[in-house]
Amino acid sequence: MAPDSLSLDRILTEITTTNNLPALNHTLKNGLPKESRETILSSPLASGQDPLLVLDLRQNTLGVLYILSARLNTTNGPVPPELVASFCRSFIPDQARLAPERVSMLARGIQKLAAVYQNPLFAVAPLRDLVTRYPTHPDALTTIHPIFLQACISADQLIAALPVLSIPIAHIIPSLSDLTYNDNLMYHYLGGILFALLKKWTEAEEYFEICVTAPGSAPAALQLEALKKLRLVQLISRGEVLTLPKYVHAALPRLLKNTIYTDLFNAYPENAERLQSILEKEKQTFSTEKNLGLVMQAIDRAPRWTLKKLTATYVTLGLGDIARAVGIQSEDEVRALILSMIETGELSAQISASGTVTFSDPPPQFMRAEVDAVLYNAQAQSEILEELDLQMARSKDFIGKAASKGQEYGMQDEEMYMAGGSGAWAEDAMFV
Amino acid sequence: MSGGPPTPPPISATEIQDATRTIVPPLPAAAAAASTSTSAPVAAAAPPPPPREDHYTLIFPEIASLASDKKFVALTSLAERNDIISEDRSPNRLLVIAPLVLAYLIMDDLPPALRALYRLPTNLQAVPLAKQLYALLASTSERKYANVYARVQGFSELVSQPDFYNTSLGALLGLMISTFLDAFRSRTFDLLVKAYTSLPLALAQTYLGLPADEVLAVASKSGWSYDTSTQVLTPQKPTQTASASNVFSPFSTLNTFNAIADSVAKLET
Repeated sequence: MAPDSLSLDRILTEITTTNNLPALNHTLKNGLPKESRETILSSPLASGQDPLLVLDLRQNTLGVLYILSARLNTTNGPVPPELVASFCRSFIPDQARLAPERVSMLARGIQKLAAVYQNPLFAVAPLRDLVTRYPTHPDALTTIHPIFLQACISADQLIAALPVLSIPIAHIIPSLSDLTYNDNLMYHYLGGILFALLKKWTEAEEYFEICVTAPGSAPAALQLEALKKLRLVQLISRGEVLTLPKYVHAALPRLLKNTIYTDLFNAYPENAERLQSILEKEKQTFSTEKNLGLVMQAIDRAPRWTLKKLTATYVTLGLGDIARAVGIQSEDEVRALILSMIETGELSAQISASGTVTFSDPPPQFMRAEVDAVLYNAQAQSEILEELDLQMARSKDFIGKAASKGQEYGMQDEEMYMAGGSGAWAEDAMFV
Repeated sequence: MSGGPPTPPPISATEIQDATRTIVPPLPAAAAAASTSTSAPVAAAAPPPPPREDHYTLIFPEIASLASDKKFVALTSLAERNDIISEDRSPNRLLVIAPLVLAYLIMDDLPPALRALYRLPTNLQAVPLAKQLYALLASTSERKYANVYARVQGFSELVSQPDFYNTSLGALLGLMISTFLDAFRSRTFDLLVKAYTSLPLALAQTYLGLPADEVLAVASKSGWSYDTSTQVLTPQKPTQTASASNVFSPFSTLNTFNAIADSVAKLET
């Protein structure tokens, strides 16, 4: 133990005295033997003191980050939870950004600590501080993002995630975080789940779609799960499944086609008996895939979509006729359903005392300010897209590919020119 | 995505009260006298010590203040932030969760209210306060109007009981449930105006949870007409105001000019 303590004492001296943070980062990252680095960093000082209590959590951010992330990921000694929370509240982001892989370790370590305490709530506040304070831009994805969402969902603290989810991801900065392809998929998948739990169906659909449409050479298993949830959310919020964008991997819809979900989508919403029989037969599968709740909600809402289809054909109908059409026994239930749909804006209709329902077109409900807001939003999005387009056009890979394609097309043009142009030139030449 | 809520285990009334009690019961007078060694006259049983102070008791006054000012958005934000910091199983957690759930109910934002109740540990989910909140939330979510009013009544009775475990919380919840009732009735009334061309009085009573004479009074105040022979109410439709976008404004505003100029400038860049 003594040699480790001596090394840690030397490290501590360097942390507290150096002004050259990149050099310190290099020392901490490469100066210790790889096989014992974490053990050394997570051990106490030679005097037995805890180095985390000696260092200033803010001023010595980089050093504390290395030691804390090592301690959370080894079993050398407990970490006081208030120390973790305090560090995440007060660390200096610029120092932490010198060691992005340690920040990822810290985030995973916080998650593990919450599991050890059997208190998922513990992880939410420190991870929220990390995910809001560490990135250089609020719309830059980091490894902390999916871990934070996972903590919020485990702790049922969904509202804590909304401020982060409200900012769509628009930047991937490799130097900021040791991201992998899966982090993007996981973040948007978990975001979709979180919004679905809050019954914010539009946002859930958007996040699942981002996961489903992420490009790749082969569809990921997570994308198939996201596609199932996307379809179920569409059934709940729209009553039908929409065509997938063209840039979805071609194999993904084929994979979904071979599952039980296709039968469900095909029977929705009119065939209530078939829907119930699918639910009964495949309940275990839906439950295993964690889709049972969504399936049940979709089936519960099927009558309203059947009712909505009636408005395309009828102007007035009696409650009894509607009950027969949507397969509900009781007129009171139909009345409650219609009232609910009117309340949520899914239906524009009026009921009379005699039980006659008159359908109408929904009146326009937009304000001038809303139109302006949509216009400004579209302009802002257009600017972002233009900037991303320019960035892509400046990238080495794109220019290389464009140049090689350009050469290829250039040769083709010459061949076409040589093959078909001689006649015209011959005519011109006659007039010279 | 669970299919339904957890079912709390049945517990006797005494166990439930013990779980919520935070005040140490006072010693009996004889035992208190026996424990003293001074010659001071035997006093009556010592008053109970104040509730154990923790994070929830410290934040409660601010929650109560926001509730009385009807600042429910700020209340939910404060309560959500403070439910992720402290101890998990403390009964004092209801000082934050109960007002939080009611605030969501008042704003008719029900999914976060349900998540807040799900966050409670099993010992707190089993107490009558939490069970009644859950029942009220379920009825409100499903728009079972008759049940909503019945549950509001039951809830009011619970929190106004003299042995409710925290009188300040009881007073606050009594105020908030009353606000919820007004908000719910008001929303329902607006919905009836939108959804019905005419409706029977009995149905209106069910929707509004009021006796006939009160329904007629409210309806008359809002310009509804009532046919005594058929006992049918006819709502007064609001006057059709054209949406702002359809109103022809002969004059453009400076804001509109600025907006158009900015947009054109962006097109030119």
